[in-house]
Amino acid sequence: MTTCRTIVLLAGSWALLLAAAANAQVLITALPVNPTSLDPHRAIEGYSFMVTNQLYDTLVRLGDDGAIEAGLALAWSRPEPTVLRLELRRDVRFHDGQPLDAAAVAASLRRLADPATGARGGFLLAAVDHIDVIDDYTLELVTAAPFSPLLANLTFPATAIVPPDAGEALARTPVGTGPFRFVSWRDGDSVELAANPDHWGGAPALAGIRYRVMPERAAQLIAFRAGELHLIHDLPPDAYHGLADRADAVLVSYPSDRTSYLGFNVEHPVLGDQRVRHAIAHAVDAPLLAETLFRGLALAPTGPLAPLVRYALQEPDPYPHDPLRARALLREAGAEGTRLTLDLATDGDLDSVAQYLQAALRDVGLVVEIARHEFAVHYEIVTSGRAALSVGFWGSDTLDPDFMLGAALHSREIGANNASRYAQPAFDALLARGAALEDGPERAAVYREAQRRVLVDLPLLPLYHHVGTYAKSASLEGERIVASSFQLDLRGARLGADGAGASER
Amino acid sequence: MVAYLLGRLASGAVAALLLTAVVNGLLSLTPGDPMVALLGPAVRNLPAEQLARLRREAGLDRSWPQHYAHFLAGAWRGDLGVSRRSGRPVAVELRERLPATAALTLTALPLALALGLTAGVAAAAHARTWLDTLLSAAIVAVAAVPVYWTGLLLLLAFSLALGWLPSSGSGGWRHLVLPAVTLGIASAAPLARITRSSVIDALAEPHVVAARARGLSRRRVLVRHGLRNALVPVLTVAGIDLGRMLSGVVFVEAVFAWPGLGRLMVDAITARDLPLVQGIVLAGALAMLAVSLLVDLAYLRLDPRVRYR
Repeated sequence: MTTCRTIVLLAGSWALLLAAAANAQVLITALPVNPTSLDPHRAIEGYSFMVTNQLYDTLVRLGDDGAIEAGLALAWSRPEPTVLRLELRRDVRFHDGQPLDAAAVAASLRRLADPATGARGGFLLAAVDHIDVIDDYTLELVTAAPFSPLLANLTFPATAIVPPDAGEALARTPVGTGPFRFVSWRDGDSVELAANPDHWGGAPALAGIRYRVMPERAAQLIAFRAGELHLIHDLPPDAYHGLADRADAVLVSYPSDRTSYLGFNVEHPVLGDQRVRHAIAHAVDAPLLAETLFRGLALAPTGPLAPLVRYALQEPDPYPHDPLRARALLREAGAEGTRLTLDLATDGDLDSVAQYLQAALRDVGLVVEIARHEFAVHYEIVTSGRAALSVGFWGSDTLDPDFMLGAALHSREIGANNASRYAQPAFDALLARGAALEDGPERAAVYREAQRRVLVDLPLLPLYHHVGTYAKSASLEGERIVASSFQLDLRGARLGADGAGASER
Repeated sequence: MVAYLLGRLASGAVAALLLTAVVNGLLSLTPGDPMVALLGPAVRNLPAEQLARLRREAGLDRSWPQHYAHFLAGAWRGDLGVSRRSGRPVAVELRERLPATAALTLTALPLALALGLTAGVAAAAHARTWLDTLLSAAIVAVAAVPVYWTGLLLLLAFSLALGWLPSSGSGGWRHLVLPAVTLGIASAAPLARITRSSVIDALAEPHVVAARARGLSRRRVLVRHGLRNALVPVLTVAGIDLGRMLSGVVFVEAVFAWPGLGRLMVDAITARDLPLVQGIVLAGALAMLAVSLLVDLAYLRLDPRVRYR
């Protein structure tokens, strides 16, 4: 009887130990918003992609150096300029057991491109004319004209592959092929994922991930300091440096694909004069802005695109700070004392940048009034050409130069994204040429020329390149930064043996 | 009595109708495209024709009276529409979030009553003494501090410094303590102030002086004659307080990541999710209607002179 009791006790203790060990390998992190949807085709904001990136795979992915790596597609080629051929892995299954083959991938891509799906990422496949399934594991994406950025577009999280029978239910009960599978979603509270032991890349070391929905930055920081979270993302400079006193916290910063700009409306009676735009560029001390306002968590601008973006120009200090020259240019243009309005959205954390610009331009004789509006109103003002100056940022999520330059500065985007209302046929022609060329020196030269033209014509002034940040518990190791916003590859992540550094109280 | 109740229900229904009409009008007339507010910066990647299609599908091409008529017709059938943000029925979203907010407010209210009544009665019993001054100063200080700040201070003390309670989230009674205490403290201040002044007034009434003269104990005089007579205005304030609490939950739920209606409301307003905002406003209006009815019924019990016809 005593032996039996001992065995039962030992078994119980062992089970508890196993459960504790498994629990210790559950990564706990914060999500600032309740996800809109866990269907990657219907998710809106980047934070939803933080979760879907773990549940689904894309055909190709970005490595930490920005290079395109194999995802569900093992190999790719261009048998013709208008054809992108993809060869798929053969050992992949969705979490519900369905096999992944070329027909499933084609169905997923067609769903994304179909306007009826209402997919926010449908534009990524806009160039695709049709999709041909060649055999069980080969398919071809055929475009009407050569379109080189297509492969990079397939790294975007919204192009993740969903099962062929995916319907409305995918938003709440996601099924993908990713390293983690869905367990539960308590609306407004948490999303739980468990490791997918059958993932084609091998079983993750983590037993699971728990995303806690925490909208308040201050509450996230307290929870991290209290040891309730292993990982918090996207920290503003004060919060980031404020954690430096924690011996058990590791602070990580990395170059991001985003750049903030001061946009000029080139149709404005005063800003239409290129000399005024150049004067403003010389009035702004961009390296100082990056160093002081962001306490080192921003990079001084080197061109219109973040250095991480393919073929980004690397001009050190393209507009040296020179207030005397700025004043002279303004005098020459007869623009001294001009009153200008600077528009910005309330949700962009750009207030201090706007205040700096206001002070810098006052120093050279321009009067700037700051107008803050909620994003929808701001968007209406800048897209309708009513803004004189505006501050905002652009990301190049696929790291292809066409992503930002095409969306923000092509003349076809006037009335939409081209807030500068910049229309230069020569620039448009360069973009068209760049999009049609294969990656290589010729394509690089075309985009560098396009960027130099932006620096000369100056429809927008790059202010600083963003730096991504996160803080993690010292017990977390093996996570890999993906060179694009909101992505952290957690396939190789593990929590150390010291109780994992975060616990549920 | 029945006629009175029916009258109250009818006036409550009219109030709810007016409220939802005002909310509908305000949100519809707010500048900026609601679809842009919903999509945020993601809108920059959408071709114009797709944006137009999404607007059409969300019914944004309707005028606001048409919108409101559509909402009323649906509400009459028990259908509150579909959230633009999540694509889920509003009724489902409300059903999922309501229990968390109910648990929070129903825990905070007794706490607020206990704290407010105790502080108010103690201050009144020792009126114009150092204890009264101290309590009154504390009450004013608590009333002046934003509920958001109180929450962060409690978080720093009990979660970070002492490590006694979880800092946020939901899952058990321990998660409820800090949000409920924060909300309870914030709601206790106005209760304490009204209790103090009502009890002081009641204690000056001739029947209380007579009771004292009859030699009743100080405690009996305070509770039976002072507090009981002061409870009618206190109850009125408590009813209003519950309404104020519903606005307080917006902040408390954000600080403590409590998955209730307050946070859903913030998300819905930010995304200009009109069907969801209307659903939450309607739920709040119905809750307030129920509370004010309960308060009216409680008057009957507290004051035998009250009659409803």
